Amino acid sequence: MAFFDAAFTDAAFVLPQALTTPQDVTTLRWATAGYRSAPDDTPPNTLWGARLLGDLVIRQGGIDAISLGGMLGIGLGEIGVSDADAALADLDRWGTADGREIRVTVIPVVEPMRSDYGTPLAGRGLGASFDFSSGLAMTRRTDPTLAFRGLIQRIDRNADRTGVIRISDWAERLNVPLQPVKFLGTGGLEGGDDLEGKPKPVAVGHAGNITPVDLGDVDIGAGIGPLRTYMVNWREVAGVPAVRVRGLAQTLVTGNPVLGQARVFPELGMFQLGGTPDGAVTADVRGDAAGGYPSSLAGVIQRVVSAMGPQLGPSEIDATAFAFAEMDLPGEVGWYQGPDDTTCAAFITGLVQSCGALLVARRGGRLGLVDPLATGDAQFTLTPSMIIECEPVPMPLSLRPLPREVAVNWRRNWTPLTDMAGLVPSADRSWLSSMHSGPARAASTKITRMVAQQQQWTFDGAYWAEADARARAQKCRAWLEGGPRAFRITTDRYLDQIECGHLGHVTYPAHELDAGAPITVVDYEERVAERRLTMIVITRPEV
Amino acid sequence: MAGAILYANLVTLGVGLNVFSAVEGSASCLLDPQPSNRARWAGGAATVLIDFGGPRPIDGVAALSTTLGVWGSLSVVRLRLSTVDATGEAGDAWDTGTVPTETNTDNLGNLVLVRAAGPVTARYLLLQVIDGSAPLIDIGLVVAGALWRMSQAPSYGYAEGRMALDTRATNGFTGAQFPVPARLNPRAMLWKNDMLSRAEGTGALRALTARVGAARDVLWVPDTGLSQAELNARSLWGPVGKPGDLMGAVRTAFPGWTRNWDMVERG
Repeated sequence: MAFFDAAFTDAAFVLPQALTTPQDVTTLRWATAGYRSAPDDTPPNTLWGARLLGDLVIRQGGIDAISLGGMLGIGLGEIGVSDADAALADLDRWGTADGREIRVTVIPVVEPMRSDYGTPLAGRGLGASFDFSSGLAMTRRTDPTLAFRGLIQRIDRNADRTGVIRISDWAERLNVPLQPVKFLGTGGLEGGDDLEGKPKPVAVGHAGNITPVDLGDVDIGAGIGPLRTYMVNWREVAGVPAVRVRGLAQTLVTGNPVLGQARVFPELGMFQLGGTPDGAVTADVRGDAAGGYPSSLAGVIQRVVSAMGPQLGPSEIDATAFAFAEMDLPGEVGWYQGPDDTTCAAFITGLVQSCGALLVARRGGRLGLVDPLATGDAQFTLTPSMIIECEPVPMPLSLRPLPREVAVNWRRNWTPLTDMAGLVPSADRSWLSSMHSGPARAASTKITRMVAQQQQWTFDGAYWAEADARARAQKCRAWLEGGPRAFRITTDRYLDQIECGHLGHVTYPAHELDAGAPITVVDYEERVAERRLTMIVITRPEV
Repeated sequence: MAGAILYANLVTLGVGLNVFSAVEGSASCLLDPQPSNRARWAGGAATVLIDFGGPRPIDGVAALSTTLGVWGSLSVVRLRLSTVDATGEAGDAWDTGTVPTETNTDNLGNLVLVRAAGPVTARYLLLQVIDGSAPLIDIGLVVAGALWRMSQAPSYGYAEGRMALDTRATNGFTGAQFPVPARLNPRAMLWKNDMLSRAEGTGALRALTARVGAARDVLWVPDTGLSQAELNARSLWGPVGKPGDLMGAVRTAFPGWTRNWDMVERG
């Protein structure tokens, strides 16, 4: 991935945008100054009328996220608009724009007197320039850039005949019920009356000792008659490696189960017991496997957002970011949600916080996953001549002083048991009665020697294997031993491009940055018309 | 010669506005007060025909915020004012003939036509512009009306220039500078008219103040005797009042009125 700094032009930002819906309602096109597309553009000769007031500020992140992980939405605040002609009347009265898509595009001004400012929607070649240092000829272009794609929360009108567009980012789409598939309550596999209207369970990755949904005695047509049936996932799973009654593992069989046995139907996401249980029934499950079994953090999150919740399409997912996350965040993880209502956002937040990852909404409306501790080649470079201001900022309280030890729990127990059968092996009892195994620890002798206050950095890991939890702890330790520092840097470069999680390199004649340091972006704020980008970066160890 | 102000735009009061060979809601754009919301004509010719609904006094006509000159080709204009010919082609009241527009992209492509001899009475206005081989012509506003030709020219001490909306931040530590050009550094003029007559004080000046306020725009022509190129370059379209300010003239001495003007063009 590479970035190219923006041309030295000022920006009029426009909304080429919104309100295109199946109902074919009006598309509103507004701008900070009148913009008319070129005759051969799509759409041709179309006016974006001057209506927007003030600057547009795009922001994302929060330095605290570096220590917690979680989901980062893009904050866009508000866009002021003129309402002198009462253009907002219906938008305010009926809320016709609420929840609809909005796109913000930046148009570089190359020729101020053209109605497209020299930048048609299709972009334009400006000719070639010759770089004598490299001996290369380069084609220069001017293109509109999509600064933001999100959703309109609402449009309000003010007393002074102006209005405000309130905007949320694309991640808002995750605030929908996780599981749209509900039990019908008609009996059998659709559950009884008590389950009617409740969401079917969701299991992704490798989840331990979950409480499956009890469907009662059901004949699922396998020729073995009605048996006590449990659902672990609403559809096909990769497997159910263990079924327990009061903690006692049942023998898994492929035929007709009898007392002490269970038969798994992975294609249905269910299992049946051979007898009536005398206590809590739990199971380990290797979850959703329709179209393959994802088990990594990146894999299960992609599965959740594409198959459940908002059911995002491929164009709404940053495949490159997920591909990097696949490498940066290895290990088999698992998560489970029973027949209770929750949102997709809440489900995913638990997953990403389990290892300190960040789920980020990109400016262009795509969803990405990043590891804030990732290392790699710099995607952008900041030198002193590019920096308007650079100042240190405090690290999050949870990382001050730097923790001397990292602890990552593993093999989460989704149903801690208090009533276990006497035959449960003692080796299993500890985990079955706890919230998790572990933690896997990675302590730093270097930091231990340097700090007076000893603190621990803990993650409630979703890893199944101890080795994966330990590897994560060690990665965190290596990052801490690099002595991370945070800086707020303001520049006029890389506008429309910087996202949280991007890797860079900064050199500055102060704050011990003279020799340069690799950095990771954890927060940014871009003032579009002012052409200023302020980001908070954290240094990372040299690799 | 003295300066003049057009403060009652007859185009917005007209009963008929026709545009020929235009695309995409052009007529409405010509009535939109935002100059950057431009009408578009496909090809290198634009025609506007306006029916004012009755005889009106006119000696100032302007096409503002245009692409004339953008393409580097010679552009020409012909303006005709007619009394009864609804096609506007008679030009019996005023016919400029075909003359170069002398527009310049530095001046928003503004074209300002002034009838030096004073106003004529006409009902129909036909404005035809040809811009060489340009692929299109865009015009933001068409303005027409009677000029208030002031009895006194701007007093010495007036200032003309541009309001710098550009910004230029400096890193106080490294000294590096980070300029940001504005989309437009609008032209501006600061001037004073001393000794305006009693009739002007109770007539045009009072009417201008009442009609225009701080929300509407006027066309300021600093000298009605300027060449076409200088008319385009120095005439400004914009407000002459600011919200909250007291708009009016000062009775500095018997028998005249003094009016201070502070104008930044609207682009």
